[in-house]
Amino acid sequence: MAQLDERLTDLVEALLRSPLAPLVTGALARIDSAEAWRQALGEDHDRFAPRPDETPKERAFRQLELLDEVIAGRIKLELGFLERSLALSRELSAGVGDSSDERFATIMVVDQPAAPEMLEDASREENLLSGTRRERAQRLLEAWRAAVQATRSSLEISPGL
Amino acid sequence: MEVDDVFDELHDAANNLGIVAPSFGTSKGKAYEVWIMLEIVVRLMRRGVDVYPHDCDDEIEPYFRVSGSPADMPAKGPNEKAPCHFKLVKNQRWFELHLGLNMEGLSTATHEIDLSVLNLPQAYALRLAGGGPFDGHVSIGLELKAHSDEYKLSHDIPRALLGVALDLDLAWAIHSWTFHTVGDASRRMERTARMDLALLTTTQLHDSSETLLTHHGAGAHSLVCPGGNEAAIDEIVGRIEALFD
Repeated sequence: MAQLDERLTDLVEALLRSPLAPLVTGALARIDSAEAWRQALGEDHDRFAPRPDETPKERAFRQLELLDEVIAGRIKLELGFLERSLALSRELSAGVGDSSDERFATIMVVDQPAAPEMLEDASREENLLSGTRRERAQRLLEAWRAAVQATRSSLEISPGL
Repeated sequence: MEVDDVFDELHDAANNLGIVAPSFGTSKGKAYEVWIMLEIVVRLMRRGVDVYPHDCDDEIEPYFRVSGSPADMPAKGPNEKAPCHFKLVKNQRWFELHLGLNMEGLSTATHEIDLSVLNLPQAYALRLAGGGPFDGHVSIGLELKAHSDEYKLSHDIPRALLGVALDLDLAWAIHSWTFHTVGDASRRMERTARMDLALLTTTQLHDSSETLLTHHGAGAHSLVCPGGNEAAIDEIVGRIEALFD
């Protein structure tokens, strides 16, 4: 397993201690595969593969950019799915017969119960199109961006190469 | 904001999203499959196919449900916990579109196909018989992978997909064959009703994976996401529409 720069630990642990830990383990696996890239033959260049002459600080910045690309990318993709699916379900409602029927604007995952803490939604099932889901994904994206910027600033002023 | 506050805010935001979206970020996430499903049914609707969201009692269902895990065809009858499907109708031809349905292979092993278009009479008959993994004809089968954390999709996935195809239809890899008589006359015959298979992913595919899939007549579509390679969805829709001809 590739070594994550210790200056990125706080950033990663904030998510590892949450239900979204799989998001981080996926990103760490991506770092691992990028750092092993030079050993693969016959494949085109991964832009996040390490350079032979990179310093520890440059390595930290590279890992941070890769974490950001994977995690922010995943959140933005989820928001994209949600926005498009909502618009499509409304068009579908109009086609089936009743564009004013908001019930068509729900897609429930039947065997994926939301956590018991989700008291504001009586159904307690995961709704892939809910406004709450959208708002919280947007908030996560903003919080992630702030945390990445704070980490980047910290790296810039950290001593050493 | 203090630096520690920034990380606390991140942790809180992740916790709050995890409460309402427990499948987010996991391999079980359904958001991608649902988006693809809706794109397909709405594009079919725009092309004149009648589309009906139905529950397992074959009634219109406004609160559409999908299963987070691979699921057998449910039995016919009222069931608020069973996944729904779409009926597709045009030119008096009927098909069903399902997400995450289990299929029974020749080996009796079950395989999930992320999105499938099925012969309606066979699907309906299975519900009437009490449900179970589908063992009838699959017209269209899609493997959908939202693996944006990977630079390129693992080779294993296309290989596994072809393995599933062969267990569902032993002759799937055969496109055509030619008979020869003793007198050296010949007659070429082509497969009809062969399952149309495709892999759609949000990330890139290795060149060798594309070669493997396309050699065997399966679709290989990378970067399929909102604002990305949506032409792949149009191609799939065209293949589904051709079923009604």
